[in-house]
Amino acid sequence: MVTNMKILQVINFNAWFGESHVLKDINLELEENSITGIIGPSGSGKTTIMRCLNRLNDSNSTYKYDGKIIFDGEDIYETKMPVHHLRQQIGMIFQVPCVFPKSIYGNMIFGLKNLKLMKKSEFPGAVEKALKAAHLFDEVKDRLHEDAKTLSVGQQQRLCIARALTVNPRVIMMDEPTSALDPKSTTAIEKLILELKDKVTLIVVTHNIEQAKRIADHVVFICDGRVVEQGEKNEFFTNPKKEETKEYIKWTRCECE
Amino acid sequence: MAGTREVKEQVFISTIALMNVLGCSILIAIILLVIIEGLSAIDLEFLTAPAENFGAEGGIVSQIVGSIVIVIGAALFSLPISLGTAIYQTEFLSHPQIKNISNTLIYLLNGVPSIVFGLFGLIFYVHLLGLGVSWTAGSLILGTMIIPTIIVSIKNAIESIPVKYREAGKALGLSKWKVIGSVVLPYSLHGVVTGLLMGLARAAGETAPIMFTATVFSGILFPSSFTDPVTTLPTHILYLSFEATNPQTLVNAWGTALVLLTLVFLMSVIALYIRWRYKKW
Ligand SMILES: Nc1ncnc2c1ncn2[C@@H]1O[C@H](COP(=O)(O)OP(=O)(O)OP(=O)(O)O)[C@@H](O)[C@H]1O
Ligand SMILES: [Mg+2]
Repeated sequence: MVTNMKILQVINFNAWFGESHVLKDINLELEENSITGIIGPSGSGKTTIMRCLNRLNDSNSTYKYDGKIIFDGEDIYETKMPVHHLRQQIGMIFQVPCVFPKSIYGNMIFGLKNLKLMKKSEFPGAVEKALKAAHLFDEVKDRLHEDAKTLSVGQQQRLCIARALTVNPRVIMMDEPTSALDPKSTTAIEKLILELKDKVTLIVVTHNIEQAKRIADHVVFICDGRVVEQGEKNEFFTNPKKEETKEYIKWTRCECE
Repeated sequence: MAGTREVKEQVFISTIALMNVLGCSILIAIILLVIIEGLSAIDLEFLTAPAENFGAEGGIVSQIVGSIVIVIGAALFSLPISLGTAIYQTEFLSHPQIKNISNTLIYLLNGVPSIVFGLFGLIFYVHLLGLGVSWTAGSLILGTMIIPTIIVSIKNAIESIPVKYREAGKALGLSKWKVIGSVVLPYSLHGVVTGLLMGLARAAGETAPIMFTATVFSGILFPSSFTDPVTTLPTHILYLSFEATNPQTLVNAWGTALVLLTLVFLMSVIALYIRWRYKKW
Protein backbone atom coordinates (compact mmCIF):
# COMPACT_ATOMS: atom_id res chain seq x y z
CA MET A 1 0.00 0.00 0.00
CA VAL A 2 2.77 2.39 0.91
CA THR A 3 4.52 1.98 -2.44
CA ASN A 4 1.38 3.12 -4.22
CA MET A 5 1.93 6.61 -2.97
CA LYS A 6 5.38 6.86 -4.50
CA ILE A 7 5.07 8.39 -7.92
CA LEU A 8 8.78 8.14 -8.70
CA GLN A 9 11.40 5.79 -7.34
CA VAL A 10 15.08 5.79 -8.19
CA ILE A 11 16.72 2.51 -7.26
CA ASN A 12 20.48 1.93 -7.14
CA PHE A 13 20.91 4.26 -10.05
CA ASN A 14 24.30 4.98 -11.60
CA ALA A 15 25.09 7.17 -14.57
CA TRP A 16 28.18 7.74 -16.64
CA PHE A 17 29.21 10.20 -19.34
CA GLY A 18 31.93 8.27 -21.13
CA GLU A 19 34.37 7.27 -18.43
CA SER A 20 33.24 9.70 -15.80
CA HIS A 21 30.91 8.26 -13.20
CA VAL A 22 28.56 11.12 -12.38
CA LEU A 23 25.77 9.47 -10.40
CA LYS A 24 26.58 6.79 -7.85
CA ASP A 25 24.07 4.46 -6.24
CA ILE A 26 21.27 6.98 -6.10
CA ASN A 27 18.13 5.96 -4.21
CA LEU A 28 15.20 8.34 -4.06
CA GLU A 29 11.47 8.15 -3.49
CA LEU A 30 9.04 10.88 -4.36
CA GLU A 31 5.68 11.06 -2.74
CA GLU A 32 2.81 12.28 -4.81
CA ASN A 33 2.05 15.99 -4.30
CA SER A 34 5.22 16.66 -2.40
CA ILE A 35 8.15 18.96 -3.08
CA THR A 36 11.59 17.41 -3.10
CA GLY A 37 14.44 19.87 -2.83
CA ILE A 38 17.79 18.77 -4.19
CA ILE A 39 20.79 20.66 -2.88
CA GLY A 40 24.47 20.17 -3.45
CA PRO A 41 27.55 21.92 -4.74
CA SER A 42 28.18 22.74 -8.37
CA GLY A 43 28.98 19.68 -10.46
CA SER A 44 27.52 17.28 -7.91
CA GLY A 45 25.03 15.84 -10.38
CA LYS A 46 21.77 17.65 -9.59
CA THR A 47 20.98 18.51 -13.19
CA THR A 48 22.04 15.06 -14.32
CA ILE A 49 19.55 13.34 -11.99
CA MET A 50 16.71 15.36 -13.44
CA ARG A 51 17.79 14.71 -16.99
CA CYS A 52 17.81 10.98 -16.21
CA LEU A 53 14.28 11.15 -14.85
CA ASN A 54 12.86 12.41 -18.15
CA ARG A 55 15.47 10.63 -20.25
CA LEU A 56 16.81 13.84 -21.73
CA ASN A 57 20.31 12.38 -21.54
CA ASP A 58 19.37 9.63 -23.98
CA SER A 59 20.48 11.67 -26.99
CA ASN A 60 24.01 11.90 -25.56
CA SER A 61 25.92 9.01 -27.09
CA THR A 62 28.37 8.82 -24.17
CA TYR A 63 25.58 8.42 -21.60
CA LYS A 64 25.29 5.06 -19.86
CA TYR A 65 23.21 4.08 -16.86
CA ASP A 66 22.60 1.23 -14.52
CA GLY A 67 19.76 0.70 -12.07
CA LYS A 68 16.08 1.48 -12.19
CA ILE A 69 13.83 4.49 -12.29
CA ILE A 70 10.21 3.60 -11.63
CA PHE A 71 7.54 6.09 -12.64
CA ASP A 72 3.98 5.22 -11.80
CA GLY A 73 4.95 1.58 -11.33
CA GLU A 74 6.86 1.23 -14.60
CA ASP A 75 10.58 1.20 -15.26
CA ILE A 76 11.05 4.24 -17.50
CA TYR A 77 14.02 2.77 -19.34
CA GLU A 78 12.32 -0.60 -19.93
CA THR A 79 8.72 0.36 -20.58
CA LYS A 80 7.14 0.21 -24.00
CA MET A 81 5.71 3.64 -23.41
CA PRO A 82 7.30 6.03 -25.93
CA VAL A 83 9.76 8.38 -24.34
CA HIS A 84 7.77 11.46 -25.34
CA HIS A 85 4.80 10.24 -23.32
CA LEU A 86 7.08 10.01 -20.32
CA ARG A 87 8.32 13.54 -20.93
CA GLN A 88 4.82 14.87 -21.22
CA GLN A 89 4.11 13.52 -17.75
CA ILE A 90 7.40 14.68 -16.25
CA GLY A 91 7.76 18.33 -17.20
CA MET A 92 10.98 20.27 -16.84
CA ILE A 93 11.83 23.90 -16.22
CA PHE A 94 15.34 24.98 -17.04
CA GLN A 95 17.69 27.23 -15.17
CA VAL A 96 17.58 29.93 -17.82
CA PRO A 97 13.99 30.40 -18.97
CA CYS A 98 13.66 29.04 -22.48
CA VAL A 99 10.92 30.79 -24.42
CA PHE A 100 10.59 30.08 -28.12
CA PRO A 101 11.05 33.01 -30.51
CA LYS A 102 7.29 33.31 -30.79
CA SER A 103 4.51 35.31 -29.21
CA ILE A 104 3.42 34.70 -25.63
CA TYR A 105 0.37 32.90 -26.96
CA GLY A 106 2.47 30.97 -29.46
CA ASN A 107 4.61 29.72 -26.60
CA MET A 108 1.58 28.74 -24.57
CA ILE A 109 -0.02 26.64 -27.30
CA PHE A 110 3.25 25.07 -28.41
CA GLY A 111 2.69 21.87 -26.46
CA LEU A 112 -1.08 21.80 -26.96
CA LYS A 113 -0.77 22.12 -30.70
CA ASN A 114 1.91 19.51 -31.11
CA LEU A 115 0.47 16.96 -28.71
CA LYS A 116 -3.06 17.45 -30.03
CA LEU A 117 -4.45 17.30 -26.52
CA MET A 118 -7.60 19.21 -27.39
CA LYS A 119 -9.48 20.97 -30.14
CA LYS A 120 -8.10 24.26 -31.34
CA SER A 121 -11.21 26.06 -30.11
CA GLU A 122 -10.33 24.99 -26.59
CA PHE A 123 -6.82 26.49 -26.67
CA PRO A 124 -7.69 29.97 -25.40
CA GLY A 125 -9.44 28.56 -22.32
CA ALA A 126 -6.56 26.22 -21.55
CA VAL A 127 -4.01 28.99 -22.04
CA GLU A 128 -5.90 31.29 -19.71
CA LYS A 129 -6.19 28.58 -17.07
CA ALA A 130 -2.47 27.78 -17.16
CA LEU A 131 -1.45 31.45 -17.17
CA LYS A 132 -3.70 32.06 -14.17
CA ALA A 133 -2.19 29.09 -12.35
CA ALA A 134 1.23 30.63 -12.95
CA HIS A 135 0.01 34.08 -11.81
CA LEU A 136 0.95 35.57 -15.09
CA PHE A 137 -2.42 36.12 -16.68
CA ASP A 138 -3.08 39.66 -15.44
CA GLU A 139 0.34 40.80 -16.56
CA VAL A 140 0.07 39.44 -20.08
CA LYS A 141 -3.61 39.28 -20.94
CA ASP A 142 -3.44 42.43 -23.07
CA ARG A 143 -0.25 41.48 -24.87
CA LEU A 144 -0.65 37.80 -25.66
CA HIS A 145 0.48 38.35 -29.23
CA GLU A 146 3.66 40.20 -28.38
CA ASP A 147 7.00 38.46 -28.64
CA ALA A 148 7.66 36.42 -25.50
CA LYS A 149 11.17 37.87 -25.39
CA THR A 150 9.68 41.23 -24.40
CA LEU A 151 8.76 39.78 -21.00
CA SER A 152 11.09 40.21 -18.04
CA VAL A 153 13.20 37.19 -17.18
CA GLY A 154 11.04 36.48 -14.16
CA GLN A 155 7.90 36.63 -16.29
CA GLN A 156 9.57 34.39 -18.87
CA GLN A 157 10.22 31.79 -16.19
CA ARG A 158 6.58 31.91 -15.12
CA LEU A 159 5.62 31.61 -18.78
CA CYS A 160 7.73 28.45 -18.97
CA ILE A 161 5.97 27.08 -15.92
CA ALA A 162 2.58 27.96 -17.39
CA ARG A 163 3.59 26.36 -20.69
CA ALA A 164 4.65 23.21 -18.86
CA LEU A 165 1.27 23.13 -17.10
CA THR A 166 -0.67 23.17 -20.37
CA VAL A 167 0.27 19.57 -21.16
CA ASN A 168 -0.94 18.31 -17.76
CA PRO A 169 2.23 16.81 -16.32
CA ARG A 170 2.12 14.79 -13.11
CA VAL A 171 5.61 15.77 -12.08
CA ILE A 172 7.40 19.05 -12.70
CA MET A 173 11.16 19.26 -12.29
CA MET A 174 12.77 22.65 -11.92
CA ASP A 175 16.50 23.13 -12.29
CA GLU A 176 17.50 26.14 -10.20
CA PRO A 177 14.43 27.98 -11.45
CA THR A 178 15.21 31.22 -9.63
CA SER A 179 18.97 31.46 -9.97
CA ALA A 180 18.66 33.86 -12.90
CA LEU A 181 15.99 35.96 -11.20
CA ASP A 182 15.68 38.99 -8.95
CA PRO A 183 14.35 38.64 -5.37
CA LYS A 184 10.82 39.74 -6.26
CA SER A 185 10.46 37.19 -9.08
CA THR A 186 12.08 34.60 -6.84
CA THR A 187 9.44 35.12 -4.19
CA ALA A 188 6.71 34.93 -6.82
CA ILE A 189 8.06 31.63 -8.14
CA GLU A 190 8.50 30.15 -4.68
CA LYS A 191 4.87 30.99 -3.88
CA LEU A 192 3.85 29.43 -7.15
CA ILE A 193 5.81 26.26 -6.42
CA LEU A 194 4.03 25.87 -3.08
CA GLU A 195 0.65 26.28 -4.75
CA LEU A 196 1.45 23.82 -7.52
CA LYS A 197 1.93 21.09 -4.94
CA ASP A 198 -1.82 20.49 -4.95
CA LYS A 199 -1.74 19.63 -8.64
CA VAL A 200 1.62 18.05 -9.26
CA THR A 201 4.65 16.49 -7.63
CA LEU A 202 7.67 18.75 -7.73
CA ILE A 203 11.42 18.37 -7.70
CA VAL A 204 13.34 21.58 -7.28
CA VAL A 205 17.09 21.83 -7.58
CA THR A 206 18.55 24.76 -5.75
CA HIS A 207 21.88 26.17 -4.74
CA ASN A 208 20.13 28.16 -2.11
CA ILE A 209 19.73 26.42 1.24
CA GLU A 210 17.26 29.01 2.49
CA GLN A 211 15.09 28.34 -0.53
CA ALA A 212 15.10 24.63 0.21
CA LYS A 213 14.04 25.44 3.77
CA ARG A 214 11.18 27.56 2.50
CA ILE A 215 9.71 25.26 -0.09
CA ALA A 216 10.81 21.62 0.27
CA ASP A 217 9.04 18.81 2.10
CA HIS A 218 11.84 16.39 1.55
CA VAL A 219 15.47 17.41 1.12
CA VAL A 220 18.15 15.48 -0.73
CA PHE A 221 21.75 16.53 -0.35
CA ILE A 222 24.05 15.21 -3.03
CA CYS A 223 27.74 15.65 -3.43
CA ASP A 224 30.08 14.21 -6.00
CA GLY A 225 27.28 12.12 -7.50
CA ARG A 226 26.28 10.49 -4.22
CA VAL A 227 23.32 11.10 -1.94
CA VAL A 228 25.04 12.12 1.26
CA GLU A 229 21.87 12.48 3.26
CA GLN A 230 18.15 12.91 2.70
CA GLY A 231 15.14 13.31 4.88
CA GLU A 232 12.08 15.23 5.90
CA LYS A 233 12.87 18.94 5.82
CA ASN A 234 12.73 19.82 9.50
CA GLU A 235 14.58 16.70 10.50
CA PHE A 236 17.17 17.35 7.79
CA PHE A 237 17.89 20.91 8.78
CA THR A 238 17.57 20.72 12.57
CA ASN A 239 19.12 17.36 13.09
CA PRO A 240 21.46 16.38 10.25
CA LYS A 241 23.20 13.07 10.78
CA LYS A 242 26.34 13.48 8.72
CA GLU A 243 29.22 15.84 9.28
CA GLU A 244 29.25 16.81 5.60
CA THR A 245 25.60 17.81 5.79
CA LYS A 246 26.18 19.99 8.86
CA GLU A 247 29.10 21.61 7.13
CA TYR A 248 27.11 22.20 3.95
CA ILE A 249 24.10 23.65 5.77
CA LYS A 250 26.38 26.02 7.61
CA TRP A 251 28.86 27.02 4.93
CA THR A 252 27.37 25.76 1.64
CA ARG A 253 30.58 23.92 1.17
CA CYS A 254 31.41 20.29 0.91
CA GLU A 255 34.67 18.41 1.28
CA CYS A 256 33.57 15.30 -0.50
CA GLU A 257 35.22 16.06 -3.84
CA MET B 1 67.36 44.36 -36.06
CA ALA B 2 64.01 45.65 -34.94
CA GLY B 3 64.22 48.17 -37.78
CA THR B 4 64.61 45.57 -40.51
CA ARG B 5 61.81 43.50 -39.03
CA GLU B 6 59.53 46.48 -39.12
CA VAL B 7 60.49 47.21 -42.69
CA LYS B 8 59.88 43.60 -43.67
CA GLU B 9 56.53 43.72 -42.00
CA GLN B 10 55.64 46.95 -43.77
CA VAL B 11 56.65 45.50 -47.12
CA PHE B 12 54.58 42.41 -46.45
CA ILE B 13 51.51 44.38 -45.43
CA SER B 14 51.85 46.69 -48.44
CA THR B 15 52.14 43.70 -50.73
CA ILE B 16 48.99 42.01 -49.50
CA ALA B 17 47.18 45.35 -49.49
CA LEU B 18 48.16 45.74 -53.13
CA MET B 19 46.88 42.23 -53.90
CA ASN B 20 43.64 43.14 -52.22
CA VAL B 21 43.26 46.31 -54.29
CA LEU B 22 44.23 44.42 -57.42
CA GLY B 23 41.72 41.64 -56.74
CA CYS B 24 38.90 44.06 -56.06
CA SER B 25 39.75 46.20 -59.08
CA ILE B 26 39.68 43.22 -61.41
CA LEU B 27 36.28 42.24 -60.05
CA ILE B 28 34.94 45.77 -60.36
CA ALA B 29 36.42 46.10 -63.85
CA ILE B 30 34.68 42.92 -64.99
CA ILE B 31 31.36 43.99 -63.56
CA LEU B 32 31.68 47.49 -65.02
CA LEU B 33 32.65 46.10 -68.40
CA VAL B 34 29.65 43.77 -68.45
CA ILE B 35 27.36 46.60 -67.43
CA ILE B 36 28.73 49.10 -69.94
CA GLU B 37 28.96 46.71 -72.85
CA GLY B 38 25.75 44.94 -71.93
CA LEU B 39 23.58 48.00 -71.51
CA SER B 40 24.07 48.95 -75.15
CA ALA B 41 22.40 45.71 -76.19
CA ILE B 42 19.54 45.74 -73.74
CA ASP B 43 16.17 47.22 -74.54
CA LEU B 44 12.63 45.99 -74.19
CA GLU B 45 12.80 44.04 -77.42
CA PHE B 46 16.00 42.28 -76.34
CA LEU B 47 14.27 41.06 -73.19
CA THR B 48 10.98 40.07 -74.82
CA ALA B 49 11.75 38.82 -78.33
CA PRO B 50 13.23 35.51 -79.43
CA ALA B 51 16.63 35.38 -81.04
CA GLU B 52 16.90 35.76 -84.81
CA ASN B 53 19.62 35.44 -87.39
CA PHE B 54 21.80 33.21 -85.13
CA GLY B 55 21.56 35.60 -82.24
CA ALA B 56 22.70 38.64 -84.15
CA GLU B 57 19.19 40.05 -84.06
CA GLY B 58 16.12 39.72 -81.88
CA GLY B 59 16.29 39.08 -78.19
CA ILE B 60 16.83 36.41 -75.57
CA VAL B 61 13.40 35.71 -74.15
CA SER B 62 13.62 32.00 -74.76
CA GLN B 63 17.02 31.90 -73.09
CA ILE B 64 15.64 33.70 -70.04
CA VAL B 65 12.70 31.32 -69.88
CA GLY B 66 14.95 28.33 -70.50
CA SER B 67 17.32 29.30 -67.69
CA ILE B 68 14.43 29.86 -65.31
CA VAL B 69 12.81 26.55 -66.22
CA ILE B 70 16.02 24.60 -65.82
CA VAL B 71 16.79 26.30 -62.50
CA ILE B 72 13.30 25.69 -61.11
CA GLY B 73 13.63 22.06 -62.12
CA ALA B 74 16.98 21.88 -60.35
CA ALA B 75 15.40 23.39 -57.24
CA LEU B 76 12.52 20.93 -57.22
CA PHE B 77 14.93 18.03 -57.53
CA SER B 78 17.67 19.12 -55.16
CA LEU B 79 15.64 20.61 -52.32
CA PRO B 80 13.89 17.49 -51.01
CA ILE B 81 17.02 15.39 -51.35
CA SER B 82 19.20 17.95 -49.60
CA LEU B 83 16.66 18.58 -46.85
CA GLY B 84 16.22 14.86 -46.27
CA THR B 85 19.97 14.26 -46.17
CA ALA B 86 20.62 17.18 -43.83
CA ILE B 87 17.88 16.11 -41.44
CA TYR B 88 18.98 12.51 -41.52
CA GLN B 89 22.57 13.49 -40.81
CA THR B 90 21.81 15.90 -38.00
CA GLU B 91 18.88 14.16 -36.35
CA PHE B 92 19.27 10.44 -36.92
CA LEU B 93 22.87 9.64 -37.71
CA SER B 94 24.66 9.32 -34.40
CA HIS B 95 27.60 7.15 -35.39
CA PRO B 96 30.52 9.60 -35.42
CA GLN B 97 32.58 7.73 -38.03
CA ILE B 98 29.72 7.41 -40.51
CA LYS B 99 28.98 11.08 -39.91
CA ASN B 100 32.57 11.95 -40.72
CA ILE B 101 32.61 9.86 -43.87
CA SER B 102 29.40 11.35 -45.17
CA ASN B 103 30.64 14.86 -44.39
CA THR B 104 33.84 14.21 -46.31
CA LEU B 105 31.86 12.82 -49.23
CA ILE B 106 29.72 15.92 -49.37
CA TYR B 107 32.77 18.19 -49.40
CA LEU B 108 34.41 16.07 -52.08
CA LEU B 109 31.25 16.16 -54.17
CA ASN B 110 31.30 19.93 -53.87
CA GLY B 111 34.76 19.98 -55.44
CA VAL B 112 33.91 17.86 -58.46
CA PRO B 113 34.34 19.95 -61.65
CA SER B 114 31.01 20.72 -63.22
CA ILE B 115 31.97 19.15 -66.56
CA VAL B 116 32.22 15.82 -64.74
CA PHE B 117 28.64 16.21 -63.60
CA GLY B 118 27.78 16.85 -67.24
CA LEU B 119 29.49 13.66 -68.29
CA PHE B 120 27.79 11.71 -65.54
CA GLY B 121 24.47 13.26 -66.56
CA LEU B 122 25.02 12.36 -70.19
CA ILE B 123 25.53 8.73 -69.33
CA PHE B 124 23.02 8.43 -66.52
CA TYR B 125 20.15 10.82 -67.15
CA VAL B 126 20.35 11.32 -70.90
CA HIS B 127 21.08 7.76 -71.99
CA LEU B 128 20.40 5.36 -69.15
CA LEU B 129 17.17 7.02 -68.00
CA GLY B 130 16.41 7.83 -71.60
CA LEU B 131 15.60 11.49 -71.03
CA GLY B 132 17.54 12.51 -74.12
CA VAL B 133 19.01 15.97 -74.49
CA SER B 134 16.33 17.78 -72.49
CA TRP B 135 15.78 20.44 -69.88
CA THR B 136 14.79 17.68 -67.47
CA ALA B 137 18.23 16.11 -67.84
CA GLY B 138 19.78 19.57 -67.33
CA SER B 139 17.71 20.20 -64.21
CA LEU B 140 18.68 16.84 -62.78
CA ILE B 141 22.38 17.44 -63.50
CA LEU B 142 22.43 20.95 -62.08
CA GLY B 143 20.31 19.76 -59.15
CA THR B 144 22.78 16.98 -58.44
CA MET B 145 25.63 19.43 -58.67
CA ILE B 146 24.25 21.87 -56.09
CA ILE B 147 23.04 19.29 -53.56
CA PRO B 148 26.24 19.58 -51.47
CA THR B 149 25.96 23.37 -51.25
CA ILE B 150 22.37 23.14 -50.04
CA ILE B 151 23.09 20.33 -47.59
CA VAL B 152 25.97 22.22 -46.01
CA SER B 153 23.91 25.37 -45.64
CA ILE B 154 20.96 23.52 -44.08
CA LYS B 155 23.23 21.55 -41.77
CA ASN B 156 24.99 24.70 -40.60
CA ALA B 157 21.65 26.29 -39.84
CA ILE B 158 20.37 23.21 -38.01
CA GLU B 159 23.54 22.83 -36.01
CA SER B 160 23.43 26.44 -34.92
CA ILE B 161 19.97 26.07 -33.38
CA PRO B 162 20.54 26.40 -29.64
CA VAL B 163 20.12 23.04 -27.89
CA LYS B 164 17.76 24.62 -25.39
CA TYR B 165 14.98 24.94 -27.97
CA ARG B 166 15.11 21.27 -28.85
CA GLU B 167 15.20 20.35 -25.20
CA ALA B 168 12.34 22.67 -24.32
CA GLY B 169 10.34 20.93 -27.06
CA LYS B 170 11.29 17.47 -25.88
CA ALA B 171 10.58 18.39 -22.27
CA LEU B 172 7.02 19.30 -23.27
CA GLY B 173 6.56 15.80 -24.60
CA LEU B 174 7.09 16.31 -28.31
CA SER B 175 8.10 13.24 -30.24
CA LYS B 176 11.23 13.28 -32.33
CA TRP B 177 9.27 14.06 -35.49
CA LYS B 178 7.34 16.82 -33.79
CA VAL B 179 10.60 18.39 -32.64
CA ILE B 180 11.84 18.24 -36.22
CA GLY B 181 8.62 19.75 -37.51
CA SER B 182 8.18 22.50 -34.99
CA VAL B 183 11.71 23.36 -33.87
CA VAL B 184 14.35 22.10 -36.29
CA LEU B 185 12.66 22.99 -39.58
CA PRO B 186 11.23 26.40 -38.73
CA TYR B 187 14.43 27.52 -37.02
CA SER B 188 16.63 26.44 -39.91
CA LEU B 189 14.40 27.71 -42.69
CA HIS B 190 16.76 30.62 -43.40
CA GLY B 191 19.52 28.07 -44.05
CA VAL B 192 17.27 26.14 -46.41
CA VAL B 193 16.40 29.22 -48.43
CA THR B 194 19.92 30.65 -48.39
CA GLY B 195 21.49 27.36 -49.43
CA LEU B 196 18.95 26.85 -52.16
CA LEU B 197 19.44 30.33 -53.60
CA MET B 198 23.22 30.09 -53.46
CA GLY B 199 23.08 26.72 -55.16
CA LEU B 200 20.68 27.99 -57.80
CA ALA B 201 22.79 31.08 -58.42
CA ARG B 202 25.65 28.75 -59.19
CA ALA B 203 23.47 26.46 -61.30
CA ALA B 204 22.10 29.35 -63.34
CA GLY B 205 25.57 30.35 -64.47
CA GLU B 206 26.84 26.90 -65.41
CA THR B 207 27.54 26.08 -69.02
CA ALA B 208 29.68 22.98 -69.12
CA PRO B 209 27.34 20.40 -67.59
CA ILE B 210 24.32 21.37 -69.68
CA MET B 211 25.71 22.31 -73.07
CA PHE B 212 25.68 18.74 -74.32
CA THR B 213 22.88 17.36 -72.17
CA ALA B 214 20.12 19.92 -72.05
CA THR B 215 20.50 22.74 -74.49
CA VAL B 216 20.47 23.53 -78.15
CA PHE B 217 21.57 26.73 -79.80
CA SER B 218 18.33 27.66 -81.45
CA GLY B 219 15.24 26.22 -83.01
CA ILE B 220 13.42 25.99 -79.73
CA LEU B 221 11.36 28.75 -78.23
CA PHE B 222 9.78 27.21 -75.15
CA PRO B 223 9.91 23.58 -74.05
CA SER B 224 6.55 21.89 -74.49
CA SER B 225 7.37 18.57 -72.88
CA PHE B 226 9.72 17.08 -70.33
CA THR B 227 12.01 15.76 -73.03
CA ASP B 228 12.41 19.01 -74.97
CA PRO B 229 15.76 20.76 -74.87
CA VAL B 230 15.96 24.46 -74.04
CA THR B 231 18.22 27.37 -74.75
CA THR B 232 19.76 29.06 -71.73
CA LEU B 233 21.59 32.30 -70.96
CA PRO B 234 25.08 30.88 -70.29
CA THR B 235 25.06 28.53 -73.29
CA HIS B 236 23.75 31.38 -75.45
CA ILE B 237 26.75 33.48 -74.44
CA LEU B 238 28.99 30.58 -75.39
CA TYR B 239 27.45 30.16 -78.84
CA LEU B 240 27.41 33.89 -79.51
CA SER B 241 31.09 34.16 -78.65
CA PHE B 242 31.82 31.54 -81.30
CA GLU B 243 30.41 34.01 -83.79
CA ALA B 244 32.67 36.75 -82.51
CA THR B 245 33.44 37.93 -86.02
CA ASN B 246 30.00 39.50 -86.26
CA PRO B 247 30.16 42.61 -84.04
CA GLN B 248 26.39 42.67 -83.36
CA THR B 249 26.52 39.09 -82.11
CA LEU B 250 29.20 40.08 -79.63
CA VAL B 251 27.15 43.01 -78.38
CA ASN B 252 24.28 40.62 -77.79
CA ALA B 253 26.61 38.28 -75.93
CA TRP B 254 27.43 41.14 -73.55
CA GLY B 255 23.75 41.90 -73.17
CA THR B 256 23.04 38.28 -72.33
CA ALA B 257 25.90 38.30 -69.84
CA LEU B 258 24.45 41.33 -68.11
CA VAL B 259 21.04 39.67 -67.81
CA LEU B 260 22.65 36.51 -66.42
CA LEU B 261 24.81 38.49 -64.02
CA THR B 262 21.79 40.40 -62.75
CA LEU B 263 19.84 37.18 -62.25
CA VAL B 264 22.66 35.49 -60.34
CA PHE B 265 23.44 38.62 -58.39
CA LEU B 266 19.84 39.00 -57.33
CA MET B 267 19.69 35.45 -56.05
CA SER B 268 22.92 35.89 -54.10
CA VAL B 269 21.79 39.17 -52.60
CA ILE B 270 18.46 37.69 -51.53
CA ALA B 271 20.32 34.72 -50.07
CA LEU B 272 22.64 36.98 -48.08
CA TYR B 273 19.74 39.12 -46.95
CA ILE B 274 17.78 36.14 -45.70
CA ARG B 275 20.80 34.78 -43.89
CA TRP B 276 21.32 38.12 -42.20
CA ARG B 277 17.68 38.88 -41.50
CA TYR B 278 16.49 35.57 -40.14
CA LYS B 279 19.34 34.72 -37.89
CA LYS B 280 17.42 34.56 -34.66
CA TRP B 281 20.36 34.00 -32.31
N1 LIG C 1 26.81 16.05 -21.23
C1 LIG C 1 27.80 15.80 -20.37
N2 LIG C 1 28.92 15.18 -20.78
C2 LIG C 1 29.93 14.92 -19.92
N3 LIG C 1 29.91 15.22 -18.63
C3 LIG C 1 28.82 15.83 -18.14
C4 LIG C 1 27.70 16.15 -18.99
N4 LIG C 1 26.77 16.76 -18.23
C5 LIG C 1 27.27 16.82 -16.99
N5 LIG C 1 28.50 16.25 -16.92
C6 LIG C 1 29.33 16.13 -15.72
O1 LIG C 1 28.56 15.51 -14.72
C7 LIG C 1 28.80 16.09 -13.46
C8 LIG C 1 27.51 16.58 -12.87
O2 LIG C 1 27.03 17.66 -13.62
P1 LIG C 1 25.65 18.37 -13.34
O3 LIG C 1 25.41 19.32 -14.43
O4 LIG C 1 24.62 17.34 -13.09
O5 LIG C 1 25.98 19.14 -11.99
P2 LIG C 1 25.06 20.12 -11.17
O6 LIG C 1 24.97 19.57 -9.80
O7 LIG C 1 23.79 20.37 -11.88
O8 LIG C 1 25.95 21.43 -11.14
P3 LIG C 1 25.49 22.97 -11.16
O9 LIG C 1 25.05 23.28 -9.77
O10 LIG C 1 26.74 23.70 -11.51
O11 LIG C 1 24.42 23.11 -12.17
C9 LIG C 1 29.81 17.20 -13.69
O12 LIG C 1 31.07 16.70 -13.33
C10 LIG C 1 29.73 17.47 -15.16
O13 LIG C 1 30.98 17.87 -15.64
MG1 LIG D 1 22.96 22.07 -12.83
